[in-house]
Formats: sequence, structure tokens, C-alpha cells
Amino acid sequence: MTIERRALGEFEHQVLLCILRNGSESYSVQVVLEMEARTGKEVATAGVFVTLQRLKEKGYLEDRVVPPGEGGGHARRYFRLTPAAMCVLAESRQHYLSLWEGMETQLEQAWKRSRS
Amino acid sequence: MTDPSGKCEPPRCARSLLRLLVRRAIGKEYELALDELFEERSARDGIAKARKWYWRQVFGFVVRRRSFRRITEPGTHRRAVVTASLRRGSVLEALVQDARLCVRRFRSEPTFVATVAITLSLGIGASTAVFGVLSTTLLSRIPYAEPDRLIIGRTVYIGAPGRTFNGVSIPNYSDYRESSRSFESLAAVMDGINRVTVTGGDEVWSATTSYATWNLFRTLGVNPAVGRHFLPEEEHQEDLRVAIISFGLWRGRFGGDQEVLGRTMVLEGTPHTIVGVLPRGFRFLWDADVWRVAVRPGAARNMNAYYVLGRLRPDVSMALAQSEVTTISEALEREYPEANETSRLHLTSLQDFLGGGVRRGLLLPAVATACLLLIACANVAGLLLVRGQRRLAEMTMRSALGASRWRLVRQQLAESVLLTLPAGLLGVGVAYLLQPVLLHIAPMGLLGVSEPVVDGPVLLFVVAATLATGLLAGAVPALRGSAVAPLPHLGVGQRTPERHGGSRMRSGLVALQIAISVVLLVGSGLIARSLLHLSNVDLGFSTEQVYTAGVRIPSTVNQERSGDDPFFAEVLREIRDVPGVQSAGAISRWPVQSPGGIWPMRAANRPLSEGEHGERAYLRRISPGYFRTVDMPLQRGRDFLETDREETPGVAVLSESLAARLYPGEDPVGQSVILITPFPNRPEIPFEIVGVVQNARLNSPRVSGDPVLYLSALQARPTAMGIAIRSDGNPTVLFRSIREIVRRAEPDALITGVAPMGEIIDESLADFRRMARYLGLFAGIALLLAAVALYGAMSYHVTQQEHEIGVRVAVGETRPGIIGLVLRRGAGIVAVGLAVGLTFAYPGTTLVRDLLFETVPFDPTTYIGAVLVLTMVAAAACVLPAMRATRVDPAILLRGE
Repeated sequence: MTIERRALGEFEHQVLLCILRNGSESYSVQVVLEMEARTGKEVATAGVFVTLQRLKEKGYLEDRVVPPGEGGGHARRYFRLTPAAMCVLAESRQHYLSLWEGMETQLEQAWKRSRS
Repeated sequence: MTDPSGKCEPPRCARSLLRLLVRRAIGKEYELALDELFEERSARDGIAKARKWYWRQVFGFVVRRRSFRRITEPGTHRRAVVTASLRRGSVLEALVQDARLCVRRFRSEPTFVATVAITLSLGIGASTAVFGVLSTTLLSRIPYAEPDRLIIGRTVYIGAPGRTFNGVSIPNYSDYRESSRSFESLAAVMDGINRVTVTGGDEVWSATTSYATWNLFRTLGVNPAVGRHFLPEEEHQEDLRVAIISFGLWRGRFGGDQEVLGRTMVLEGTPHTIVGVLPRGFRFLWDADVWRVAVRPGAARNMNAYYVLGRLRPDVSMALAQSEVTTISEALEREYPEANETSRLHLTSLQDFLGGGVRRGLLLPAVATACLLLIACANVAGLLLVRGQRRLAEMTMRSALGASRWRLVRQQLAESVLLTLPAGLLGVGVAYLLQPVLLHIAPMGLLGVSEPVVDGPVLLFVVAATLATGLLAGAVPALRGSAVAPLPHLGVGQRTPERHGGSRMRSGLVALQIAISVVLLVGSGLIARSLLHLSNVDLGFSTEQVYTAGVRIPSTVNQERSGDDPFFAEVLREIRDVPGVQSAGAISRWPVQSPGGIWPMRAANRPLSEGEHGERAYLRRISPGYFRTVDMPLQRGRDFLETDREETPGVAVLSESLAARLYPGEDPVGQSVILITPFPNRPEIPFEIVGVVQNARLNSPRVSGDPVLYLSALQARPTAMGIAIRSDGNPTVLFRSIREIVRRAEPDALITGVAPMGEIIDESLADFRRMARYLGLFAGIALLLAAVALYGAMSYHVTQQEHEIGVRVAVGETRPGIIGLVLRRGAGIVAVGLAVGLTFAYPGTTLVRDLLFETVPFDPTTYIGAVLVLTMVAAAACVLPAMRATRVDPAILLRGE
């Protein structure tokens, strides 16, 4: 059960990375904007909401509500990565890097072909 | 979409949808996030793209709604997993799934689907037909521009008993028009149409014509299809008359020729130049072929023959306009007291004026239709209940697998709604067939509607009615079918025992149908009896062996013949010589067909005091011999004579009722009656009373003792008369002879309506007969549906009780005993239905009370007849299942157990 809970989906992965890129903490809109800027694709806001909540349930995110005035016109829920999330991201990066090792040239060529 | 402050707002609909779907805190958070992103996007991509994006996000939310619920209501998570097989995906998906399931099921039971479709299509079709006609008034689809600003003005007399409306005279209209500020435009239109003879072409023909002021069509917002409007100066040109003709006349008589403008038609000897053609389908108040300009010079102020038609200014209310015209009425009364005493202009909105009669006329069909739809719903609900009983095991299984009650109800409701869709389609066809009947019943011509109305709003009604019917018919079965306790029904095979209350519910529905049928049967029975009485009523004159012909001559003929015998005297004399003719006479208006105006009069020896208006009576011009022809015996005095001519003193014959009013307790013969007229040059015309004739029904077959003043036709030279001929000869030969005689006397004469006199009376009852048929048809359908429902209920009852019947047969119950058992149950249902129906039948008759004639609302014969008919039909519906019950073989049945 614990192992299953710790498994990360692709979208969850992306959401965690976006929060990490934004600095220490982000709220939903920032995640959406960051994700769209990075991927160049439209993101379903509802999907982000559900994922943020799920990541919180899995113990990868902590949230705190910032009352109005401090962060803008209305209360916002800011999410921050937990140490477990940092850990799982680091692990995941390691796995991917080892899988990608030596594949750069091949990938580069495939990328160029698809663009042409 | 930009709000007043210039800030961009997301689409309102999408936002409302979102708010409807999420109420919890997380939803609010989501909405605020969307707003922020929306602002960002509209600044970056433009408002249009941002709005599309917003919609996508809302749909994205709808798709993920279940996940949202899981986040916000963690408790629901486990149940969602359990019922995942049934509740996967969004609501929309579930509905599609339901629909697919229904269609698959319907394919396997086509007879059931067809039965429901036919039953409901009758109800839906009839309702749609009534709605189509009613909606013309309700949705202000009157075919004039902005009809809600149009008003009709008529004269009312303050202090007069009841509210009787009268027209307005042209001089008064002119004063209202010049003094009022409430109207954008004020026109006047004659309060009726005339039939005139048209000459000047190759043949003589007749046309209906009405008068209007120059601005009538402009006020209505209707432009001529060809040519132009009337011009203001044409109201003053007595020597150069102009006319605008109807589209129908243009196409029918002038072949749709564009060159029609400038052509001359001679109407009653006066040439009129055609200046325009009205658009197709135009009619206003009456269906006139020719519209002429009301010429103003010399019009009398007390000749109240026009209605005022006004278009209110946009900023003026009806109340304001009314108070203004009342002030003008008071001023007119002060200025012209002899013509305007106690008279006030009363404004009514055109919609109410036109629609009032139609709505009243349609009330009865509407109620009958609603009853029929209710019966159809009850019928289908009964069918669905039986079906639900058979599907108990399936429902139980679904419930056991985790389907919520709401899910089961939803599926069954979806089924009943889907079941009604074919009925809706068929209903449109039924509506199309029924509407012409309704158009006959209600005076829709007034509204300018002459064809069946099946358009956008009507189709929308069909959709709404279909959905509502589906929900209404499916609600009870769905709620009952979904209330299942899992255990008792699982594992039960083909024959599921009926649950307590299920059969009672169905019996109740059957009883309801019987009750409604009783109400409809009593209503239509009362009308049918009234019709019977009306057909046999003593009219006060005889139509046996009497034939009629309408003859109209141009007014110039009388001038040309000024020295000779009047035209009609000559024609009648020759007709009397035709072999087989026993007598012949002429009358200015046929009795019953059109009552004509009511004129004030007084006895010569009794001058009117202040405030008195004299006696009022109908006026008829008749020729000598008319009374004998239609068999109206003279009570006193004599008939008109050939020697009563224009140069001799005026003579009159009174009806008994008028004689009794003018000279109560005295013999009026030899005395005089004074006719009070609106003509300024002859305000009072005296006539010597030469006879008193038996009363006759003149206005309508319903009213006896109409007061009538008969004047001699030979003293007036009328241009149109109805000729009545009593003859025992061959009618074809007679009609040919009449035509020859009339043509010989005047080649330009027009002969219309050659027919037996009985047809005129029949025609006057035609509307009533149609109403009786309509109600009768509905009562018949209702009875049939109730009988089918009763048959279904009893058949099902027998199937359910087979076991009990088998046991009874096994222990020696006889055939009559078994039949009695089944019939008793049927009788119980019928008795309840009859009791409820009879209780409501009497209050229900208030709707038909106005139509009744010599029939009391609590007519025992009708009530007993309705009960008998229903009992017989019900007995027939119960006997077949009862007979089937006697064929139950206990051996087979008990072996099965």
C-alpha cells in the first residue's frame, strides 16, 4: 500500500516540478501558468486542482491558506513540497537520467526529424 | 462581455453552470482561480479566446466532478467504488447509457411501445392543437406590427344597465383624433361589412366591403403588397372614390395582374379606383374584399358605426390614454348633448378585444383536452406499473449491486420519457388533423388566423408536453419500482407476487380514468341533448317546402325604375305564377342567420320623457305574402298589401312581443308606432300599425319572443332581399325559373344562396354541432382508453390470482362463481370511478352551462345515460378476463406449484 501511494503519475510529476520551479511554494493559478509556459499546452485547471489535492493526500504536498490582503484580493491556498516529495523527485530524476544516458544523440536526431 | 466598469467578465452562463454544480469551498476556490486565469488570458489572447477557454474549463470541471466530490466529500469515496460499474463517468454519460439500455429494451417489446405511443399521441396531439390556436392570443402573435400598443375604442353609456358597446361616429372620431395626445396614430374602421354588387366588368359579382379612415393600415403597421396606402385628402373627395382590395380578390378576380392599379370597379353604381392590394392573408376584424375610405363630409354625429383603432405612443399607458379620452368624451357631451349624452369612449387592448372571444370559445376544448391527456397519462402509468411489477427482480438485483434509489428512479424516468418521444412525433400529426376542427369552433378569423398553426412555439410546446407527459406518466411507476428491498425478490422466478399496494395503485389509476370519462360523457351528453332540443325547437315559422334565394340589385336600378313597380314586387308577382309555387314573399334579412341592428321606437301616444330610450326591436322589411309563405299566422289585423307603396302612409306589422310592450293590454291595430332614427333630417318616422303577427325566433334558435317591427318592402325599394317560395314542385325547375325571372327583370341582378330554407337554420346550429361532435369525440376516446385500462387491469388481476382461482376450482367453485369473483373486483373499481366522476360531473357542467338549451345542468336522463354507457363498456372490458379465469386448469397450476 505504501509503495503504491508513493508511485507518481506523469501529471503529478509535472505538478510537483512546477511548484519546485516557482520557488518554495505556489498556489493553483501559478502552477497552471507555469505548466502551460513550460509545456506549451493548455492545461485543465480542474485537473490541476484534483492533482494538488491527491498529492496532498499522498503526503507530497503541504498547504496553508493565506488570508486576503497578504497575497491578493482573496484567500489563496499555497502548496509546498514535503521532504518526501523532494525525495521521490530526486529518485525519479535519478532513474530517468540513468535511463536516458547515452540516448542524447538518438533523441536529438528524432526530435529534429519530427520538427522538419 | 464587458461590465460597466470596463472589466472583462467570464461568460455568465458558464459561470452560473459552474456555481450550480459546486457549492463547497473547494468549488469557490476553483471559481476564483478560473477568474484569475481568465483575466490573464483575456489580456494575453483577447476576450473571445478567453471566453472559449473558460467554457472548456467548466466542461473540464463537469467531467472531473466526481473526482472533485471525492476531494470535498471523502466519505463518498468508498460508495463510489462499490457502485462504480453503474455510475462510471459523468451524468451525461449515465444518461446516454440509460438511453441505450432503453432502446435495446424497447426493441424487444414493440407492441408495448406502439400502445404507449398511440395512447399518448392522442393526448399530446389534442393539447398541441389547442395550444397552437390559443398561443396566437397568449403569445401576442397577432399579425400586426407591435400589437401590444394597439387599442380599440368603443362607446359605452354610463349608467346604462350592463355594459353594451356601441360604435363611434366619424365626427366624434375626428374630435378624438385632433384633441388626444396619447396616440401615435388614431384611425377608425366600420363595425361590420356590407355585401355589394359589383358591375362595370363583363359580369356582375358581389364583394364584401368595409369602410376605414385613410390611416387604418398605417396604424396597424401593414403596407400594401401592391400600390399605395389611402391618402388623407381622399377622405374629402366625394366624386373620386378609391379602394384597396384584398390579396384574395386580386388573385381570384384580377388574376394577380400588376396592372390592376388604376382600374375602376363600380360598387352599387359608384365607380371606385383601385389604388392598392393588401398583403396575402391580411384580415382585420372582418374579411373584407374591398376597403373603402370613410368619406367625412355630411357624416352624422349620432351615426355610431365605427370602431376607433389607435396606436399608443411608446411612453403612454392604457390608463393614461383612457383618462385622456374620457376628458374628451365629457367635452363632447357638453358640446353635442343630443348625440353624446352619457356616452364615453372605452378603450380595450386589441389583443383582449380579438382574443377574448377566442379564449372563451377555446376554454371548453382546452379543458376536454387536458382531461384526455390526463387519462392518457394515467393509462400509460398503469401500463408502466404492470411492467414494473415484472421487472421487480431486475430492480432488486441492481439495488443489491449498489445502485442508489435515485439511480433506479432516473433510469425508469428516462425510459418513460423516451417512450413518449414517438408519441410526441405522432402528436404533431394529430395536432395538424385536429386544428382545422378547432379553427371552426373558435372565431379565429377575427385574429387574422385562417390556417393551422404549427410553428416554433408550438413545436416547443410539443417537446415540453412530451417531456412533461413522460415524467408524469413515469413518476409513480418509477418511485414504486425503485423502492425495493433486496432480499425478498432475489431468486424469485417468472411469477413474482404482486407487492402490497401495487394493484391498489393501478386500480386507483383506472378509477381515475373512469371518473374523468364520466365527466366528459356527462358534458357531451348535456350538449347533445341541447342540440336535439334546438333542432326540434318551434321557430315560430315553418321551413317545410320553403326554398330561398338571395337577390341583390345595383342601387341604380331603383332610380331607373322610379316610376315603375318596385323591382321586387315585379319579380315576386312573376314567381307566384310559376307552376307548383303556392306563395312567395321577400324579407330583408333571413331569420336566425343574421339578427341585424336593434332600433329604438315608441308608441305614438306615449312621448318619451327625459332619460327614456323607448322600446328596442329588430327591424325587417318584408313583402306581402311573406308571412303566408313561412306560415306565420297573423294574430290581429292584416298583412301588407300590394297597394302599400312609397306614396301611401307607412304601415307596420308588430310581433306579438313588441305589441305587448308598446301597447300593453290594448289592441295596437289602427294605432301608430314611431321609429327613432339617427338621421338628422328625419329623427322620428311614424308607421300605422296594421297587424300583429305570431312571435318567431329571429336572432337565434335559442331565444324566443324577439320583438320585431316588420315594415313593408314595397315602401322602401331595398337593393337586396331574400326571396322565400313555398312550392311542392321540383326544386331544380323552380330554381331555374327564379333565375330566368330575375335576369329578365334586371340583367345586372345577382342571385345567391339558392337553397331549401331548412339549411339556413341548420347553418346557424353548425358551430354548436361541431362543439358537440368535438366533445363527443373526446368523451368517446376517453371511454375507450378507460375501457382498455380496465381490461388491462382485470387481465393482470386474473394472471396474479390464477393460483387462488385454481385452488377455488379444485375445491369445487362453479364457473359463475369464478366469473362473479372477477367481476366483483372490476365492479369495485368501476363503482369508485363512477362515484368520483359523478361528484365532479356537476361542478364540471359550469363550463357548458352557457351552451345548454332547455336542458338543466343536472339532467337525470344524461347522468343515467352516462352511467349506463360506462357500465356497459366496463362490463365488456371485465367479461373477457373473467371468462379467461374460468379456463384456469387447477391440475396444471397446482402441479407447477
